[in-house]
Order: sequence, then C-alpha cells, then structure tokens
Amino acid sequence: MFEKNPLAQAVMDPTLQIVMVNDAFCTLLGYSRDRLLGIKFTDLRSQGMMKYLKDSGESVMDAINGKRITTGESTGETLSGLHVMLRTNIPILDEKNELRYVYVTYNEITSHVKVQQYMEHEVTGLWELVSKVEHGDLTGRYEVTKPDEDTRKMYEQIVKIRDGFRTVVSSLKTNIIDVDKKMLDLTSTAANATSSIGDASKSVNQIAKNAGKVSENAEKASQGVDQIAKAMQDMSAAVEEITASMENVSGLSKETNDLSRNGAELAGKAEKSMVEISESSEKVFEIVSDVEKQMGEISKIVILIRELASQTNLLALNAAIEAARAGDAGRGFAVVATEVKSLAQESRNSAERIEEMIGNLKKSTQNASAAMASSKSLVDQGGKMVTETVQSFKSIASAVEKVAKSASEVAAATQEQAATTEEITASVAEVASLVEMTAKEAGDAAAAAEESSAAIDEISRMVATVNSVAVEAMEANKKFKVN
Amino acid sequence: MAAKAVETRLEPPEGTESAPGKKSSSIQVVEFILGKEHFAIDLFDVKEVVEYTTITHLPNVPAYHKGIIDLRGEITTIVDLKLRLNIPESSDVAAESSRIIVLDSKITRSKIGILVDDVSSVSTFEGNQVDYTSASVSREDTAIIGIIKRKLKVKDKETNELIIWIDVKQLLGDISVG
Repeated sequence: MFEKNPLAQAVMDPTLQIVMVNDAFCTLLGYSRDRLLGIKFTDLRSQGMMKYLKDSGESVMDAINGKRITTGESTGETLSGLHVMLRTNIPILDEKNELRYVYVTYNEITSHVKVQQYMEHEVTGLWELVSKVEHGDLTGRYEVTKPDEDTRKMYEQIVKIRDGFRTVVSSLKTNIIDVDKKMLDLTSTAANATSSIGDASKSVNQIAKNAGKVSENAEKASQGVDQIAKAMQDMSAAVEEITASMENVSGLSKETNDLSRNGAELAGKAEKSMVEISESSEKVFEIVSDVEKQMGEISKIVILIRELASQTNLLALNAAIEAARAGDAGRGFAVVATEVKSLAQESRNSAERIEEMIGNLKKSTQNASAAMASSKSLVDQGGKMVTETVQSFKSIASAVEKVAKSASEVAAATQEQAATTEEITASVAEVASLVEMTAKEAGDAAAAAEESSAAIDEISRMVATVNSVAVEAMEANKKFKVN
Repeated sequence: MAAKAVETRLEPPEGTESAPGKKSSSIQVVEFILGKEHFAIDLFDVKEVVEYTTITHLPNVPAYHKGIIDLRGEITTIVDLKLRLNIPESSDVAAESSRIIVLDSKITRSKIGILVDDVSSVSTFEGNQVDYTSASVSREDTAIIGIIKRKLKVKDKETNELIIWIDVKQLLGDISVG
C-alpha cells in the first residue's frame, strides 16, 4: 500500500535519515531507491538533489520540534523536472511520546498550478491587447503561449476568444482606414473647392470690375463715336470742297493745256523765224565777206595809184631839175613840171585818203563780221532755246494732261470717299447703338456678378464647414493607431 | 611830207647865174630830208633823182661809203649822207622808199649819188632868206653854207621853217678825188 500510493512518500528516523521511500518519491526526485535510502533528508537540499525555488508554510523541522503535523508548499526542481508540491510532515510518536519516525508526503499539484498560471498569463496578455485597443492602438497582436498537455484545453478556449477579438479589431481597422481615406479625400476636395471658390470669387470680382470698366469704356466709346460722327460730317464737308477744287483744277488744267498748245505753236513759229534769221544773217555775212574782198582789191588799186603818183612825182622833180638847168628855155617846162608834180601830189593825197577810208571800212566790215558771227551764235542759241521752249511746252502739255487725269482720278476717288463716308456714318450710328447696349449689358453683368459673389461667399462658408467636419472626423480617427 | 610838197611854190629861176656859193639875188636848191631835218643842196650840183635800188657793198671802205649801183650801165658810188654827217639813224623810213640824188658829173670825177630819206622839191629862195652869219655853223668840217628860212603859215601863224644848206662838193671832196 505504501509502495503503490501515487503520493510521493518517505519515512525518516529522528536523525532525518531516509529509511523508506515509495516509487512515486523516486520518480519525483529522479533518483533510485538505493541512492535515496541512507541519505539524510536534509541532504536533498544540501546536495542539490532538489532545488527549492519557492518555499512556504512550516518545514519538517517544525514538525519534529513541535511534534505535530506541519504543512507547506514548495516549488522545486529535480532531475524529473519542475514540481509544485504540497508538503505534509507527520511525526510518528511512540508511547512515550518520543519521536520514532517522520512521515513525509509530497502531494504534487504541479498541473493545477500550471493551468492556473497559464490562465492568468494568457488572460493578462489578452487584457493588454484589449487595453491597447481601448486606447486606440489596433496594431497589437497577441500570440497565445504554446500549451502543454495540462493547458491544451485552456489554450483552445483562449484562442477562440483571441480570434474573435482579432476579427472585430481587424474590421474596425478597415473601417477606420476607409473613413480616414474618405475624409482625406473630402478635405482635399474641400481644399480644391475652397481654391476654386477663391478663383471663382476672384473671377466674379474681376467680372464686376470688368463690367464697370466696360461700362466706363462704353461711355468713352460713346463719346468717341460721337466724335467720329462729327469728324465724318467734317470729312463730308471736306470731300465736297475737294470735289469743288478738283473741278477748278480740271478747268484750269484745260486752260493750261490750251495755252501750252498755243505756246508750242508760237514757239514753233519762232523756231521757223529763227531759221530764217539764221539764213538771212548768213547771207549778210557772205555779203560782208564779199565787201571785204572787194575792198582788198580796191586797196591794191590804191597802192598802185600811190606808186604811180610817187613815180610821177619823181618824174616831175627830175623834170623840174632839167627845166631849171635849161635856164630861161626851160622856164615853161618848169611850170608844167611843177603842175605835174602838184597833180602827182594830189593823186597821192587822194590815194592816201582812199586808203584811210578803206582802212576805216575794213574796221567796220570786221566789226560787222564779228557782229555777224556773234549774231549767228546768238541766233543759234536762240534756235536752240526755241527748240527747248517747244519741248518745254510739249512737256507742259503732257504734264497738264497728267494733272487733268490725276484730277479726274481724284474726283472719282473723292466721290468714292463720299460714299464711303456715308457708309461710315451709318456704321458709326450702329456702333453707337451697340455701345449703348454694351453699356446696359455691362450694368446687368455687374449686378449678376454681385449676386454671384454673394452665392460664392455662401458656398465658401459651406465648404469651410464641411472641411472642418472632415478634419474633426480625421482628428477623432487619429486616436486609432492602425499600423 | 605831202603838206610840205603842197607848200612848195613855184619860183621861176630868174637870173640863173652860175658860180654857186656866190651871193645872188635868188638861189635854186633841191630840198631833201635826212632824219627829221630838211637839207638843201645847189640845184646845179644835181643831175637827177632816182629811186632806191639794191646797193652792192664794197669791202674795206669808210662806213658812209655805202657801196655801188649800176645806173643805166654806169657804176655809181653811193654815199650815205646821214652817216657822213653823223646824223643818228632814227628814221623809220624803209630803205626802199629812200632816194638817191645823182650828182652832176662836173663836180666829181667819178659818178656819185647820195642816199637821202626823201627828196621833197626843187625850190627857189631869195637872198634875204638865207642866213650866212651864224658863226657856229660856218666851220669847215660841217660844210654848211647857210640856213634858209622859209615862211610857213600854220593856222594863221607865221613861223620859219629852217633848211640846212650844205656844200656837197666840199663834203665829198675826199671821195670825188678818188
């Protein structure tokens, strides 16, 4: 009965020498019965056969000394492993109340303790996880401690709980991420909207401003158009004046043309006359030359006469000498000689006078000749000039024709201009009405822009609200740590 | 020259005594011109007056011994009177218009002609028209006989034209001998 008891039992004498152990005890310590018998119970501790990790309650010594049953609990490590044991120390007394034996039982409670410890541990782990989730951290994971034979049942239960929790957290996580993403989208959309609204607001302001400017410009344009209309009227008047002037020019150019034609005719006649003058002067020149030639002949004759007179004079002189030598006989002859001499002298004088006259005549004919030459050159020049004059008149005529042509072209152009001016005037009137309409429309646009501005302000406020809501939501979600 | 010729009056040579140099009631002279002055020589020393003709110059003779000419077959010696009388050659008369007065052969042995600028006339002057007394001119080498004064009427004013009367025989004595 002692041997097969599942409780580990040992019996010691009062010296704590082990006298009996059962199988369970041997198994507990991991030593053979022979090894254990004979050693002191305290040797278990002192020889390290059992390391006491934890000890509570009363010890064997308390039982011996007090001679009473003591209990305690110990956790110890033996060759067979870690064991939690409930110790019971029973002193066995004899009739004289003397200690005979000590009976020690080790009731192993290791598996209970293990389950209990395991449960505690796992629940604590799970609690930590739940606590994290409670604080928003959804990233936590808990791996359930691997079970042994004792805790397998517990393990399975705990895993079920853990898995259920995990599923909940996971779906929560998904939701939060989802919401965050959407909120982010929303805020970015709201930002976009805000910026768009800003743009729109700016645009509307610009529109309002532009509408104002358009209105202003339309007024200016209206003034401009009025000026144009006035200018058109002036232009119309100017065109009429031009037309009148052109008619004058036309008339004048016609007269000029006639006059230049007359001039050309007259110049032609002058040219003819010049030719005749040229011919006449040539004839005169010839005559003068002839006269000169004849005078040369006369000169020769005069020289001859003088020569004759000279010789006659000499003869008379000699005659006078002879007569004088002849004395009285030559007296009559001397008279004759003197007469002859005086005649010779006279003819000589006459010859000299003729020579003088011829000389003068020669000078005159030379002058005449020179005058003829110069008149000829003048006539030539005159002829050239007349020719040039004719040419000039022709040029004038052609120029005048061109002028007339240009004038008529100008007249035609002016007429066209008049028509164009009328068209412009009509267009200007249209423009004026358009400008007025523009001004009105600009006013309308300004009003519409103001309304739009108000609406945009409203929208802006709404978007701001949406944005703040989204931001708040995101802020709330931030509590949850999802990764 | 023409004017002077007109002035020449016909004076019939009354009482034509020979013997030149002697004082007589009237003298007959041939007037001629040398340079600007009028000269005169005795009419009876003159044979004739001829026109200028080309003179053949002779070598190694005095300068006034102009040369010789052939006058109708006779060699006639020509004396340039201007050079002989030291009258400066100032006349602008061409050689061709000058005259040669051929002298009478009775005063010279050879035939002699004197070259003058011009012969103006044969004139007769009264004795009282001749001034012989001028001491300054009556030297031997000048061969001046006297100065003939001829009355001239120029614009109602009477002036005397002076004619130098020379003795051609004395002047040419040295030549005529040869």
